[in-house]
Amino acid sequence: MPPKTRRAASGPTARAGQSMLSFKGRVSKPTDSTTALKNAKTQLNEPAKEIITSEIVKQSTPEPEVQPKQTGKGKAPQVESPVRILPPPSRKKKVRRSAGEQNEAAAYEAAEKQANDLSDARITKFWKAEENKRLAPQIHQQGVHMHEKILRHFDLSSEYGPCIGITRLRRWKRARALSLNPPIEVLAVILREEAKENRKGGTRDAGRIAYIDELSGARDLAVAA
Amino acid sequence: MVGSQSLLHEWRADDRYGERKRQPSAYNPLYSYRLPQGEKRQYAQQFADMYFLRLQKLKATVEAIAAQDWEDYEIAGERAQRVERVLDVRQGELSWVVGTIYIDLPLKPNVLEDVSKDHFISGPPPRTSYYSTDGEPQVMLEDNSGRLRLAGVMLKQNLLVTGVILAALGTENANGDFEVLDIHIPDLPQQPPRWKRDDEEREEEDGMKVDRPATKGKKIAFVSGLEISGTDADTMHMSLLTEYLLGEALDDGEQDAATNISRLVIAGNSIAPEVIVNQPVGMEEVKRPKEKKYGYDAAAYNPAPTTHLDNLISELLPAIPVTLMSGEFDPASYGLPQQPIHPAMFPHSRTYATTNLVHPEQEEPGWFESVTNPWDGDIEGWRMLGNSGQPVDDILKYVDLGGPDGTDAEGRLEVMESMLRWRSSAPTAPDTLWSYPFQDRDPFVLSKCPHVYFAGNQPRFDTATIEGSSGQQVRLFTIPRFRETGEIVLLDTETLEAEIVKFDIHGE
Repeated sequence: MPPKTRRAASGPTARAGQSMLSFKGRVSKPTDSTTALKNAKTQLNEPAKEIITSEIVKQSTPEPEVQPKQTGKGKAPQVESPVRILPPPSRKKKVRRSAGEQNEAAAYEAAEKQANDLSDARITKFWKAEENKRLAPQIHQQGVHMHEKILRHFDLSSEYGPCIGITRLRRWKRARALSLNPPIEVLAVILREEAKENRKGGTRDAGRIAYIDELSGARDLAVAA
Repeated sequence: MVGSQSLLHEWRADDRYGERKRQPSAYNPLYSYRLPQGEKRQYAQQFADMYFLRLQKLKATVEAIAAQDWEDYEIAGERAQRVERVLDVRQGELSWVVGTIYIDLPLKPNVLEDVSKDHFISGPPPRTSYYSTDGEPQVMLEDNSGRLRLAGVMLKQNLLVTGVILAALGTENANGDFEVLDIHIPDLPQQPPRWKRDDEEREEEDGMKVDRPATKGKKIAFVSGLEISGTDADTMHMSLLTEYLLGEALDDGEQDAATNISRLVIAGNSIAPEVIVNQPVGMEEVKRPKEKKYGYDAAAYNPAPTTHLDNLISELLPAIPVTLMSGEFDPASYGLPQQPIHPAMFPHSRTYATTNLVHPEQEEPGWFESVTNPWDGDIEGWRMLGNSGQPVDDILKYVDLGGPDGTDAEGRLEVMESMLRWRSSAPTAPDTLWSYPFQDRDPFVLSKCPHVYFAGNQPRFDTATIEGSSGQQVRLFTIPRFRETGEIVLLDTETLEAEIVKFDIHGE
């Protein structure tokens, strides 16, 4: 199927007599694609109104000049009132965020606040209680900091879902949203680790994703918590 | 033969041509199957999250139903016990457990087999059915702890596919398999009353209750499988369809009847599958073009089908609102939930559509709406749910209902009813049906029961009504492929009865 638009016959014969167009001095820097996207998005929604209203203004300003001529026959020249441009009627619907989403966001914020107020002693107590539930002590974990032990224990708790392919914070949030009641101490540890400046490990997501995920080579989950 | 009084008569001086007005369409779509746009749409997630989310959502419901029913279940003096994890069942103990079904069929595509065969043979042809008479399907029950193989006669009596959440009662036998004695599924969810969403929104805005008089005879038209291709110019049936919908066909009586059709829903497969020309790779040398061609490579892309479709829809649009769902062969995303066909494909029709592509829920929907597959929304107050046929076709590959190609319509309706009772609009996703890896929510789980459930691109039209335990009533119907049968479905909006209108050419 031939292309719908045909170019005129190109070549030196068609353009005889015309000089070549020069693009020197024209700035043609490649823009960053994401900024172009962002600009494009806003253009779809907003500036169309501005263009239309500015055109209306341009078109309507000659009118007050015409009116006095027409009414000048028998009537006194009237004071021309400025033409008012009403904004286009907005067709926007009121967006109701579902009640569930709002509740969940509020509940998470409350949980976050509570986690930040938690004391270290409480976290240690929580971890001791967890360790006491075991039948035998953990071995080969001498060099592991208690925070990391808590997080690994959280990773391997399958009742909160699979731990691969998701950051720990998102997993905690998801478990909260599904009413699984994940321990608030784990959230406290996650937020404290997040706030730390020097995280071990080479990848950007070290410490954020599950340890077994890191070992299996997962890198840089693009979706942030 | 149609009455011809109005078609052929002498010229009369006092001929009056009245204007006909179409019934308005009350339309309030939902956007449950829209995926996040841009950077937020990621494919690095694991699919295990989807199964976890589905189980988590439906576990409580199934547990409640099972606990109520099996509270006093006794066999030989032994009572049934609830067991937390599937691996906790013990031999000889009567117990019940909730989990996800996984079915292992001999002909199911297996990625390990594909990898091992990769170097030796060319890819296998796509299979039409995973079911084969030799080789037993293995049914297993799975949850976050492990898998349990199921056995028993109950499995053959119930339709089961991968991804169904259920509670199974039974005991472990000597082989280590769980012998199933009884099964419970979530069953139909709550059904909202008609006009519920519209009334809620109206009350929020105005604070007034709306009076809704019943309009007799208002209909909604459903069509699917137009299958417009660039090479076959079979436009006769489509011209007949357009004329009928626009009220130009036949005589006064039929034209008046056509004004009752308030909306057209196109349920997928508007473009024929053989459109894309495959370039044989490596067999010919790719010719270097002498001059640089701007735009697309004309040899590979044929814009005729989308142009045809655009012309068809833009002809209909000034007179009737159209909802276009994407289908298996349409130029939309591949896995479920298929995203709407981009309005850029419809240069003429898109003037009737909303320009807000990122957040369409913020605007009033335009007369042309390109929607997802599966799709749910409110038309005339009734909650509708539909898909373009892929989930139904995929389930039929697991079972032997209705013959080898499922032409028996009974099988299709049974599958659709089962999907509602399992509360899943695509249970086999992501196992055998391509899907987006959801990590926060599984949108295929139904939280509200629809009033109407349709599946497009099916071989025949059939319809039935199913009922639920708390008074839910759902009208099921299948939409036949227009290209093959020339039929469209008209759904009455008051009685929810479905009928077909067939377009055919005499002598063909």
